[in-house]
Amino acid sequence: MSNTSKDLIFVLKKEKEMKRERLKRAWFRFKRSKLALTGLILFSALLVMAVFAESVTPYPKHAETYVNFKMRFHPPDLNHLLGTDHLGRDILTRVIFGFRLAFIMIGIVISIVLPVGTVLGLVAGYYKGRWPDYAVMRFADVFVSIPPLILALSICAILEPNIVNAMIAVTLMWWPWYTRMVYSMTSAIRDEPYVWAARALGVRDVSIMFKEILPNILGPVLTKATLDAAWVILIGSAISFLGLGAQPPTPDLGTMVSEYMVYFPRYWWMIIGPTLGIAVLIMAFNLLGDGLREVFAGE
Amino acid sequence: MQGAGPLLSVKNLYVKYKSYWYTYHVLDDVSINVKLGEKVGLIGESGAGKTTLLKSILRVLPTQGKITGGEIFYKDVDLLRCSKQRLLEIRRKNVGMIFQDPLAALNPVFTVKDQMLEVLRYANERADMNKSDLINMALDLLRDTLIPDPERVLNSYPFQLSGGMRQRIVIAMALASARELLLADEPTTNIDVTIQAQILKLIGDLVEKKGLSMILVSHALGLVRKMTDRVYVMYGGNIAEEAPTSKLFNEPLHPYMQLLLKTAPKLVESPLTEGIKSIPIDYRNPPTGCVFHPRCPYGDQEVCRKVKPPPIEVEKGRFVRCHLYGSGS
Amino acid sequence: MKSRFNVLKSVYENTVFRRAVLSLLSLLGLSLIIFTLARIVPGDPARMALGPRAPEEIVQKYREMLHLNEPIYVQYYYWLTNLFQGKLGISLTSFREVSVDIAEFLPATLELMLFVAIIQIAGTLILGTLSGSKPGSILDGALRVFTYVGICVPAFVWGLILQFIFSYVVGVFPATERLSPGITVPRITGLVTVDALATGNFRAFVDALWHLILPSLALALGAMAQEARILRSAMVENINKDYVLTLLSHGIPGYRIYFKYALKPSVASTIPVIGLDIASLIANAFMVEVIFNWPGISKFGITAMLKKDLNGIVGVVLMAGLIYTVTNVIVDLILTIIDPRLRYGEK
Repeated sequence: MSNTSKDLIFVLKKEKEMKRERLKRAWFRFKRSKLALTGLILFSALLVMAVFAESVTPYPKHAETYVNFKMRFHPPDLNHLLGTDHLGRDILTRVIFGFRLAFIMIGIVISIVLPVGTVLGLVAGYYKGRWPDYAVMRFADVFVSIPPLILALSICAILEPNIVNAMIAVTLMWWPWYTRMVYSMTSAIRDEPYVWAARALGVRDVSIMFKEILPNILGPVLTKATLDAAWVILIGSAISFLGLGAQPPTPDLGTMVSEYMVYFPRYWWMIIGPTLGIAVLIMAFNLLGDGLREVFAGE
Repeated sequence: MQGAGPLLSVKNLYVKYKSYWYTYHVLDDVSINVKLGEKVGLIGESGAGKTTLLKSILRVLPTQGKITGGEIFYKDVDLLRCSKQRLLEIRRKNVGMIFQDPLAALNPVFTVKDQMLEVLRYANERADMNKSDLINMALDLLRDTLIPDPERVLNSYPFQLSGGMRQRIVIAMALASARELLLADEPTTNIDVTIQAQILKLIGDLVEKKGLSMILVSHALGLVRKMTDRVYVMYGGNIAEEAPTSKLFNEPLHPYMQLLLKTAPKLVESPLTEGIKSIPIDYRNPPTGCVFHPRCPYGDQEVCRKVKPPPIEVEKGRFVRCHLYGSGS
Repeated sequence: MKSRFNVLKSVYENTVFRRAVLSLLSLLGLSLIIFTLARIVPGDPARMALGPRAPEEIVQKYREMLHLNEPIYVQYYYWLTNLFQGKLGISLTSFREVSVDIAEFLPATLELMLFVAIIQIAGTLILGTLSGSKPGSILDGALRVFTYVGICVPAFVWGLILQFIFSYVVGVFPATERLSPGITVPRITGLVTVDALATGNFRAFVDALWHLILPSLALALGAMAQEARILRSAMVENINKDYVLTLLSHGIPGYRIYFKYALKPSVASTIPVIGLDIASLIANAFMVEVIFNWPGISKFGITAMLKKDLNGIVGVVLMAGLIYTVTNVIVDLILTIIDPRLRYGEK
């Protein structure tokens, strides 16, 4: 084996060691970061509630079509912590089912945007200045040339307002932002010595992208994705709030706000549940994201 | 003037930096003094706490830095306890400081003129000053620091000028406030080597011409030897040795100073950090006993590991913090 | 003369100009996407426009008039040529030219945006500077909490909270509309406050301001909280930089340092975010306008969207995109003015 390739292998090994060391330190900081822990706890609590919504909610039947006119507009008390709505449904129950819906929505959107956006961003960033860069990034530019909410709203409107189309709209709205982030990170580290070393050793471009570059940007990428998720939830709820997303009686938090706003301010407590629900959900993602950022930015 | 109290005296100063995760004990019981008209050198490798010491004197530490003990007197003013106004007055009209890195010491989004006039306005609070007077003063100061074409320089943004030029501007600004004492913190870092000696000579000449006292922090041992009357050697947030310049260089007492001179034998402009292998001290938990003992050739004794050496007066005006010179040995 | 030429040259070289051109091209691309989407969606635009009871021949004629029988790229060509003449087509909701509708409703939204921008910028500068210059202070802690609340509470929730407290419980501010009943202002620019001042109607001016406060706050609070935090962290970094400590060592009073010498470099990193937020107001206003019954673009936009009025939707999208793009270009320009390094190009 020649000396040069020994050097190159050394560079790559060194990089691998540093990676392991960085991970260890990141975990240490995560354990010590109050922000990250609070975020994780709040996030898990909401997730557990959402998954076991049938068991944790007091009136699981109230989630969608249920009417009890005797119990209409009941202010909050011990039986109905957040009161009841115009059809006599328990609002707390509906809010928890709303969490479930939000998690399903963000889960589906993430599982589309993350892989697609990562691949596109990696490829465009790795071939910076060549045709894959222009093809992907100019296409992304088209989508970011109007405010995200307007884009999502108009897609929903053209397709038909319902929850599936809301997810499609949110996905179409989010991917260019996510791709741009992966792109900028990739193009920032594509000239690092270990990438050069791998290239000089004849490692294929695809495996450089996924084995050398991707692990190095994963931390910041996941952080940003978590923070973005909060934003996606916000936009999703805004779409429903404006009547272009989920339709009643779906227990979507945004839909609930617009449903209950009709009775505002007379039965003002009705909107507390869903608005608070949206806020707590967004907060969970933000805390988690900020915690992750604190952990990864400590370098 | 020998009989009068010192111009500046720092006694038993403790400074800590607090970050989100850790606390760093940066200065640990530091005492220095400067007499009127005296030029004092401060040497030691990077990270010894020299910059922190100078910034503490004017109380311009970064926000994480806290002075946790000791006192600082400028003439008879207690800088740690005096009124805010008094402190501002001293910063404006008595003491000036040249910051280490000229590339970092000028605000990138303001012109040189903006920054110099701001300084001059406060350094010369007089009713009859108008803008053109201030501009003339600024030009004079720039000429004093041998800047060619001062009008152009005055209207430039810092990033349009070279490092040497920027350092001259910083010096000019410092001189606007330094009517009595100049604190020069490694004024040649980040400057082209060919200009370093030039800049230091300039500072020396200006200090001489204006009759200032000075604390000079520098890596260039040869120039410190030429320019100063007395020298403090710092190591790990401590003053290791204090001595008149000629005595220190001819016969260093502290093992650290001996090591320094050995690695820089020619005593010309050779920078300190090159020869000596500098092991950064972990200020979160500094070594017990004498901070230098892990690197000291004589440091394997128990007393060095356990007991922090007090300043020992070897002869008049010569102090060393080392157990080698204690009563025990 | 030479310096002016240099400024022009650097403006071009510093990509502001090129970015503006690129974003306009993107906007055109967007119009293509939306147009295609609108045409391939099931449903006959002509039939929808004329209603289910219109006779087939008339629908057929209308279809020919709109070139709906031609291939899609020909349709796009016709649509585009009309667009450059300011014709966006007939709205299905109002049966008027879409541009007329937009011209009617847009000023109310622009006025709202203007006030939000003012509140947002002023609030950001003051909060960010004060808390950033004294990290760890009580104000700084309060801002931290406010920031979190601000991030987590969407604008429409702010709207509901503010409306509930200040209109219904305390009753100081009006809950809806732009002017109190009985007060009218002739339409000159469409911005009620400006028109009121122009006609010397001071009472109407105050009344209009009074109506603007709650919706503006609802839109400003969340964004302001985030921006103030970004400014704060830039400030915290800058007040420890040597160039700030140098001035401090010269006895320059703190307020001058913080509000001038530390603020200016810090603001450079905050402006892009502020700019993006202000540009996004054209979208976020949708939510708040609904709550405060503000006769702005949302009134037209949401009706168009709910009724699947394609011309209306495309019109709103293009209008929003244009405002978004123009705002971003303006932000780029401001940034070049504030940061001389961008103007002259750092070596």
